[in-house]
Amino acid sequence: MPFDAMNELSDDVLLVLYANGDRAAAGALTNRLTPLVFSLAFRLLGDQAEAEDIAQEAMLRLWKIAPNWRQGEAKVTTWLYRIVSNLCTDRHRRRKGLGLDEVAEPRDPTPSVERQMQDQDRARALRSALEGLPERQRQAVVMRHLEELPNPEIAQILGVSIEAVESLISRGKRQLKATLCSLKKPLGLEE
Amino acid sequence: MQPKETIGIRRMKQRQNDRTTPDEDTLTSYFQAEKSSRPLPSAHLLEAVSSDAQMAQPAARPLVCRSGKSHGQRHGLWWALGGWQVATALLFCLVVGVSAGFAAPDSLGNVANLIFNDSGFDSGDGSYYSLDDLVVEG
Repeated sequence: MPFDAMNELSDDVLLVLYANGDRAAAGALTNRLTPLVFSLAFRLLGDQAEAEDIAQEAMLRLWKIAPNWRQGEAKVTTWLYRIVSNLCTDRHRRRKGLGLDEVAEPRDPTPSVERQMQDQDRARALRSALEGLPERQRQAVVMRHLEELPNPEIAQILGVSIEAVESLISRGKRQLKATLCSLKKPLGLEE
Repeated sequence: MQPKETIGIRRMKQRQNDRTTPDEDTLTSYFQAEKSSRPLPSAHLLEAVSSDAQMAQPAARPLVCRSGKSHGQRHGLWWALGGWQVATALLFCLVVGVSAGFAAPDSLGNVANLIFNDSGFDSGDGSYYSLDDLVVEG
């Protein structure tokens, strides 16, 4: 099947094609899912190298489960996000919280240098503040407000109820506000 | 008397506070700043994932070959005729037919006599019943 035609197919179908030995399906899934997986891992860990490790591991697990994948039971992305969040939790358990200066620099292609620096500062501050959140709260906030996933999907990924997700997000945001409030002036957010 | 505030009402008020406080806008600007620099996977990662995909990919399932013209036609004709079951039945009939054709007529007469005499049927003069017997008794 031509590669362009693969873009029309759902993740489920591509996974079945992959399991049947279709090479083009492997390429399509790689290009479609790796950015999503990497993005979540990077935002949960704040480290490029670690996020790449996690993304590669999560995708490898997907390749391995492909022959036994049961279509229609779960979304492929939901399954992958769950793997990523679990792998990130394991990584977090192994390391201590990072200081503000140790958080990886975000890449920002905005034209204004001043604006770029301000956004970089904000992004860096946000990552640092996220690091200070309890694991589940951080995951819920990142998935909702950065990856823009709907609450029901976050609930599936984290294995909790939708109400629990709402509560995690609410508590997480409250703590983020408290942490970031003190940084408003230096980051140009004070009136 | 003022109605007691339920947990639901408290939660609703909390959500409204979360939405309307100035801090919410501040937080949104932080989220926007982070979202403006969406992290992208490196070429190295994509290559590694692609390589893993090829290594872990199951071999293509063998397809049944039905494209060979002569093989396909012969195969189709064989099954159209009924396959081996019908061929066996035809062979059996052939053997019986040929053996019956080669058998001498005398021996066939003996066999017929043997069968019909033993069963008490006689079509000749020595019939067990005459027509009169049948009329009287009938």
